[in-house]
Amino acid sequence: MSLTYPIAFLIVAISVLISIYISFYFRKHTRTTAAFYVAEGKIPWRINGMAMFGDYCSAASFLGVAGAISLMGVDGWWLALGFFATWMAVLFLVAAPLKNAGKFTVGDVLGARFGHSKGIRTVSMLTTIVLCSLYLVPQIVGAGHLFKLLLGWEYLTTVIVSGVLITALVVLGGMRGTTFNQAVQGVVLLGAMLILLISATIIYFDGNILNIIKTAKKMVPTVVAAKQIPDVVKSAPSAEAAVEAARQALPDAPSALTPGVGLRDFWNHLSLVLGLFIGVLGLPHILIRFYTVRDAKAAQKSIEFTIWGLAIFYTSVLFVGLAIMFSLYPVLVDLVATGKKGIATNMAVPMLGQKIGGELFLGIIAAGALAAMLSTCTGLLITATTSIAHDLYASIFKPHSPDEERVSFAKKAVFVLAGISIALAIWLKNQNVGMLVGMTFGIAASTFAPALILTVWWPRLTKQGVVWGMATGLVVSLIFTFARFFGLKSFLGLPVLVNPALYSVPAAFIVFIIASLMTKDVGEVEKFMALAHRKK
Amino acid sequence: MGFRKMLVAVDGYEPSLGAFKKAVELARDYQAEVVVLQVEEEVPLLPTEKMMEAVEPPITEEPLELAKAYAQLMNVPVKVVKKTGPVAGAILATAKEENVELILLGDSGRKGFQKLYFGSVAQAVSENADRPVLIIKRGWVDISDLKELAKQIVEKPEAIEIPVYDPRLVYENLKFSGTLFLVLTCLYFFAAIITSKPLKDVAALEIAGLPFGIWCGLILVVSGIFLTRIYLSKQGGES
Repeated sequence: MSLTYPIAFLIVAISVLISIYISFYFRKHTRTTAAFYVAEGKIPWRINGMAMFGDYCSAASFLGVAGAISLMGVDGWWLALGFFATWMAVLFLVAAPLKNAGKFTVGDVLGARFGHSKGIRTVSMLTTIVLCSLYLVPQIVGAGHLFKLLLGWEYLTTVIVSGVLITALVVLGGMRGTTFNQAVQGVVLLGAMLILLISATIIYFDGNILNIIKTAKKMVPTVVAAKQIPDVVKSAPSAEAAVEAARQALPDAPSALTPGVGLRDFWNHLSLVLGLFIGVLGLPHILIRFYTVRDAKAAQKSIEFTIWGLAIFYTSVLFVGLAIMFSLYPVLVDLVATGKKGIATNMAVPMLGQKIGGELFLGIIAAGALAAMLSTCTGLLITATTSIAHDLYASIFKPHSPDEERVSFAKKAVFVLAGISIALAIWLKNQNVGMLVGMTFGIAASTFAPALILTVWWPRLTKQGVVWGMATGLVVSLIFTFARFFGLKSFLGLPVLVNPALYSVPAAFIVFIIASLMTKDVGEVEKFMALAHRKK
Repeated sequence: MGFRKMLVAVDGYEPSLGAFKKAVELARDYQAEVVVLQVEEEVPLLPTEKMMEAVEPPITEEPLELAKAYAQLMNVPVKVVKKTGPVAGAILATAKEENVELILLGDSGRKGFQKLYFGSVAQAVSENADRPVLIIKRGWVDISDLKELAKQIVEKPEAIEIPVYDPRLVYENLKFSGTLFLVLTCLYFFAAIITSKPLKDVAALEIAGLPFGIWCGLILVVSGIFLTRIYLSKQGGES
């Protein structure tokens, strides 16, 4: 088997090695450096802020959003706005009470209020496993396409190889120094996105970022052109000519800045934005990052650092996506027209890198994308490991087992979980990774998110309310997620939407509330509320 | 010639407690004072990361308390110091500050991969110190009496004062967090609904060169930063 882009592949491999090296170096450095400086808290908050950013920006943000924009124009940006806003929803609604209570994972919070309930533990563990394995899918789909592009192998081969390698890397080595790794990966992926933005602006838009907007107003969105006039675009001599030709052929078509191109209808849109908005509240691996640093000041600084990073990143993504549509117009139209939407939507970003700076740039961008996948996979797998070791093995299987045994069991279980994710990734190869992540958000929004919000704010919530509410949310959201994967148009008389949230979120909330009102076990509500809402 | 003042670094694990016991023995012989230092590393680590790093459980979570109790039993004067920062750096800095004549350290005996990852504090200190360093190898000193003592010292239940439950406080917090969340929700869903299919013509209206829908998105991003700042300043003001 020959490599299509050996240099780019080499850059990716080196970047992985460097990030492993740095994480090692830092851990050792904090112990053995001879210098003792009183720059209190400075390094931890920067590292933590960057790790938070790296953990949060997954393949969906790096590849999926810009890819979606390059195909349907500004509608694709919705994913980015959702990813951005939901992060703040977490901050405002639960961050402070959780910090006060000293609990950072959903399981801990529920445990603090309701004690050791087998029912809650079991539902939490199942939800964690479902969320982690489904959230892994888009990362692996992204990796599969990426290595297919770099190596020229079949998608099936690359998905299996990269899925197994990522899991092995994370489980066997990467879980050490997670924080440092994620911080380094955060720098790499933000840097890669900015490099793309700056160089694309200079090369294609005379160095003026506003020219991207001007040009976008003229462009017929890729998906529209691919459907109606693929041949016109194909026969154009250059990308610029293709953009012109498409506009001449379809003078009344919407532009890349016209909203509504990528949307089906109001309800689909609402379901997506709802799922995105409260989804992150229920993603177990995000919360934990808020307070890895010790003192409040450092925590605040790292949050501020992250919000700026996210704002810059998600705004840049809009411009990069539009720049991709312009510079790769004929290629993207051709890919979509010939049914290779999966490649177009997920690989648009690395393809722009290649066009701008050849194999070298392709390598840098691919390294950024892989950094996004790795940092997120690390966060997810470490959460899954904790949950399996803690909630499954220690609480249900073998309560008196030593730590080592629990961790080793959990590591094996994580491989099984990754295997399921790889199988799903093979099946779902033509989905946009951003939309896949959106679905995971929808499931989280129907399970952990209401559990967390209600535990923290509603004294009347009961143990049974949590168990039944989460179970309902999980089942309903899974049914509609898989109905979507199987391509069903409707299920039980309800139309299947792009995201399960519109059905599962209200269903979950209703069951949480009704089951709570019908039962009495509110847990240690006074103690918990007093801790979570104390005066500082 | 003897030593009048020595420094020993402890972390609650076996090797460092071996070094501490040796320090106490030497202090008795030389009538010296022992400075016991505990350095808390300042690294942002996840709980699972910490769990995976610890190969064995520590003998005590409160090494300084154990040190004080043991020294009292042995009738040796000790001074305890707690610092935060790079471990080796803090040891060297304390040695200078306290002007000790000997630094005692335990050697973890980590090998291979583990040593590559964690490095060796003992090695780093002995390389960079300007005064004598004594490294006590793991297992050289029998610390069963220290272990016994650690068990006897009833660990103080963490003094978490549970404040009184005050529903008004919950309501107040809800008002503040809820308001910010509501503002965010309004901005978010306004931008979302305006760009949905039935209203897409409104979103396409051009204002200052950009469609209204994009302005809504940009406003959301900018106000997100503002809202976060408001939130953080309130949190900061209270703590």
